This record gives sequence, C-alpha cells and structure tokens, in this order.
Amino acid sequence: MALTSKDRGAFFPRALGLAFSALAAAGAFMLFLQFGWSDGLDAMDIVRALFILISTFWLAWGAMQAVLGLMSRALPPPLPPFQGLRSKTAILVPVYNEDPVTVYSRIAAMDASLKATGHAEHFHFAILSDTRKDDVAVQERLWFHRLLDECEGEGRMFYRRRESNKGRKAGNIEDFFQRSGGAYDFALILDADSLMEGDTIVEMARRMEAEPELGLLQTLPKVTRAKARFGRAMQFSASFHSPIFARGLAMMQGATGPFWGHNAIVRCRAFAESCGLPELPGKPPFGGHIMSHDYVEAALLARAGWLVRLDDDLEGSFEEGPENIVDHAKRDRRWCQGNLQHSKIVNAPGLRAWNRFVFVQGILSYISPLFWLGFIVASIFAPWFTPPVNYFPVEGWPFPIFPSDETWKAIGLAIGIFGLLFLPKLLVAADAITSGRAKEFGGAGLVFRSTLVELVFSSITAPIFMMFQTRSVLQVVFGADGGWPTNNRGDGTLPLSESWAGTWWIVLWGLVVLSATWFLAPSLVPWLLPIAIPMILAPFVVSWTSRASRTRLFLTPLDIQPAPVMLMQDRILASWQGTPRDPAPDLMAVPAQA
Amino acid sequence: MSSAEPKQPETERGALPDAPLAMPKQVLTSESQPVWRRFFGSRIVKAGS
Repeated sequence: MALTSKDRGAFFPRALGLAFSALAAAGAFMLFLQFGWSDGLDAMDIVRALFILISTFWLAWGAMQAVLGLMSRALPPPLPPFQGLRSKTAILVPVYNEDPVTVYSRIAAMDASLKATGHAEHFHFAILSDTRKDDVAVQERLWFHRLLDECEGEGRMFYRRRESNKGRKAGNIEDFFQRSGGAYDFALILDADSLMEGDTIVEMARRMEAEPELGLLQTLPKVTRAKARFGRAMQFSASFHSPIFARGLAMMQGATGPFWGHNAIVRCRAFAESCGLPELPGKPPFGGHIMSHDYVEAALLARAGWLVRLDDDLEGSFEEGPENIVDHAKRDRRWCQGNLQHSKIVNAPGLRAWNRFVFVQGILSYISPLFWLGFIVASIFAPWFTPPVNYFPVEGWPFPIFPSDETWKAIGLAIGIFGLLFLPKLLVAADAITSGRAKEFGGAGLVFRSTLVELVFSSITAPIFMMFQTRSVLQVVFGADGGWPTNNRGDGTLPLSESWAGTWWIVLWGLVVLSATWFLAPSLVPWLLPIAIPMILAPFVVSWTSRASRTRLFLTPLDIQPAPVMLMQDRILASWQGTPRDPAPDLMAVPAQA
Repeated sequence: MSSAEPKQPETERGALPDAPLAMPKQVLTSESQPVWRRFFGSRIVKAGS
C-alpha cells in the first residue's frame, strides 16, 4: 500500500528540525571547546563538550517542534459530506484495579453523549478487566450490572475479566481482538481515565470510513480535573503548550504516528494483522512483554503500509493526569523502562526509518538527564584536569602572554541553552495573545502570568525530575523491573512525611554535590545553586505542589466551560455515589475468566 | 473468590460477542547484526588479521 504523499509532506519539517538541531548542537559544542581552550584544552573539556553537544541537540529538537507547530494551524482533513455511519465500533475500556464507580460513570456519560448524536447503535462498549484485586473485581461486576440497567446497555455493553494479565494492557487489548475483534470494523482504545464526547467519537469513525488506508487515528487528549498545584501546572501545559508541540511532532512524523496508547481509534483488521506483539527474548526489564506497546504498534502498522495519523483538530478528547510529582515519577518509571526496552526493537526488520528514529528519540528523552548530570559532575572535577597556565608559551619571547578571558562564551552558551528551554513556551504565549487564543485561557494578562509562573515552576521541579529519571534509567540498566503499578487517581495530596519518604535520597545527593563543588570547584557554586537548592528542598517542593491550588493561575478553557460530557459524568457520578448498592451474593461468586 | 479457583461458566449478561480475529505474532528481532556491530566487528577482524 502506497502512503508516500503524507511522508513527502513530512520531509520539510524533518529536514528543518534535524538541520536546526544539528546546527545548534554543533554551535554549542564549538563554543564550549573555545571556552575550554582558553586555559588549555584537556580531556575533561572534550567530555563536557560532548555532553553539551548531545543535550543541546535534544533541547533544540524540542524547541523545533514548537516552532513547526506554530507555523501551521489544526485543520480537518477533506472529507465527503456526512451521510451517516455504516461501520461498527467497539469502545475498549481496559481497567486495572481502578474504582469501577468512577470508570463506569465515564462510560455512562459517553454513552449518553453518543445517544445524543443519534448514532449510538454503531458503538458498543467493552470493559476489559485485568484487575488483580478480587474485592475490586466484585465491585466491577456489581456496578457493571447497574451500568447495564441504567444505560439499557444489554447487547451493547460488555464486561470480561482475564484470569491472568499476561502482556498487561497490550495483552488485554489483544485478547479482545482474538475473542471479539471480528465483530467490529474499528476499535476505539481508551484508558480507564479517558472521556470523549459522542460527536468526537462519531467523527473519528467517519474519518476511518472515509479513508480505507487509515489504520490508526490518534486524538490529542486534554488533561482535565486537576486540583493540585502540580496537576494544574501540568494541565495548563497540556492544554496550552501541548497542542502546538504535538502539531510540530505530527508534522515531522507524517504517516507513521504518533500513537499514545489511548483516545485513538484503530481499524480492527489492520491492527489484528499487524500488531500481534511477541515477547522479547531475555528477562525484564529489556526482555519479556513490551511495556510501551503504543510506539511499537504504530511502527508495525506503518511497516504494514497503514496510515497512522494524529488529527489534532479533533476536540472533545480528555484524560486525567497525576496530581503530584511522586505519582508522576512512578508513571514515568514505567515509561522509562518501556522506552529503554525499545533499544531491542529499533533494529526490527522492515520498520520505516522514521519509526526507528522515534524509538531513538524516546530513549534519548530518558537518558538526556544523565548527560546533564554528567556535565555537572565533569565540571566539578574539571579543575583537577586543567593544566597549569603557561604564561610563556612562545620559546624565547621575554614577555608573558596572558590567556584570553572566554567567560563571555560560557555565559553566551548558558543564555542560548536557557533560550532553547524557555523561548518555545514564550513564543506559544505570544502567538496565543496575538491570535486571540489567549481569551480561552482567561485573557492575555493571565496567560502571560501563567506562562511565567509555569516556567519558574518547571525550572524548580526540573532538577527533581532529573534525579528521578536518572534513578529510573540506572535501575533499568542494572536490570530492575519496575513492574506495572496501579495508577493513583483522584486527590494526590502528600504530607511532608510521605514526600520525605519519596525524595530523601534527592536531598542527600543535593548536599553531596553542593559540598563537593564547594571543596573542589568553589567558583562553580553560584552556577550550581539553581540545581542544588531544589534538590535539597525536594520534600517541601513535592509536598507543597501536591496541595490544592487556590489561584486563577493556570486557567484552562475547560475550567471556564467544562465539556458537556464532563458535566454529564459529574451528574452520573454524584447520583451513583449517593445511592450505593450492596453487593449481591450471587455476583460475588463470579470468578475471573480465562 | 480467587483467580486460582476453577473456571466457572460465564454469566450471560454482558458477555463479549464471539467473533475471533487472528492476531499473528510479529517479527521484531532482526537476524542481522546491528550496523555498529558489523562496522566495528569488521575493523576488529582486520586489525587482528
């Protein structure tokens, strides 16, 4: 199947992104070498310059996604006039030790939203339970019967629980296809915390019908319902910045992705034919089940000739996010293992080159903090490697030659790196203010303040994330399997004691690094303080940011006007939570299925 | 209730439709060696010969 037209469109963004990133990285490398040369080039200068080269490439790559995203607008693809649906879609809701009342209230809300479109008969819901806790499973089944009764879902809503959660989420979805995939044209894959408007779901099915070569259509989910300071900062960033970054990413990825594992619709036949995931040879963390299966499935669909596309013009797609840094780090630990595991797949036969590059990007996104850390450590020890200054380098010349002061180059380099970090977000804010998009976020003034506070916020939390990511990478490299912990949802307030329990080791490292710098390279202390202080204060930062936000900062359009499906879910959840039903004895006896 | 208990008949209400779709396992591991290993391998052989 030929799918070159979209890839041809991706050539310019790819070439621009790579060229700019390579240029920025080379410039930073040269600048640092010149700085190092001023007092005599040594091995440590070259090592640090290499760290700067890789880190700058990665930063510039991220910045280019924003720049590319700002160069275009989200537009729907050309489609024939809508004359109703012909297809059948299964909406898959994988659950794993989740609160069934909350999850099912989302299903009931989506069902009501679909009924309002007049196309509900084209959609079924399948709750795919991988729950391991039997008491939760009892509740799942109990509340499923209530869901059936209240939504009149007989014949449209299904529930099954696997006896073993082999293959985790990917295995859960695969089990559905092997059991029931033949009954449907498309499958809309959700997460337990996903919520989508009926109109959006119908539109996705319509687009799948209109483009027979489209194997997977991804939406850009907006994070909702955040209450904590950290959660709201993430929610603002996901709502305000992510659409721009995602558009840039999609422009570069062309017809090969991205797929983020949920809030996406797949063509059943294409998915079944192309995405049967084998176990990788060896033991976890690198062998065994594929953890970050979504990137792999996107690559396999593209390998088989199917289009994989992000349609970022589609609204009405929502998810929830972690409310505190520790929960974020737990999820990130799983993603880290999944991405590093891709090092075993990057060489798989027949993959499209860009999909291989996406795997490398994923790996780089997790190991890049190690390069920064390596740069810091190398800088602390660098004075030990510096040769003594030779004031008489020219033989026979009677006058001393003083080395030129190249400090401005180091300062210029630092400004450039901070520019790559901050400028994209400032550009997104400027674009929002000039285009009128800022009105949806409470106006230009509030957007400007939210952007600045978010930059400060992310600067303070960045060293803490750097440490968490570094630990995750080292754990994976040394063979520790992180497993598949349940996601914490809902209120994530962390008292100081819990925060300390999760971050004391970061405090320790902050003190060690600062003390070592004080003794070995005191001139570097001022440069290191922006990193060391957040590390030393990590328990306070984590605890404070987990508490409820009480400001108007980080306002999003969904705070001002929640989506109808969100309001519907609130009503259903309130009514269900107000009238709990006792488990019926016969339902409690139902075991898991094979 | 335990997942280790013998399998019992599935309740009729809400059972998934029976319409299997084959999902063949894909090949993800390459028979050939990575490019870097082939490159350095050939250099090592040349240096040793």
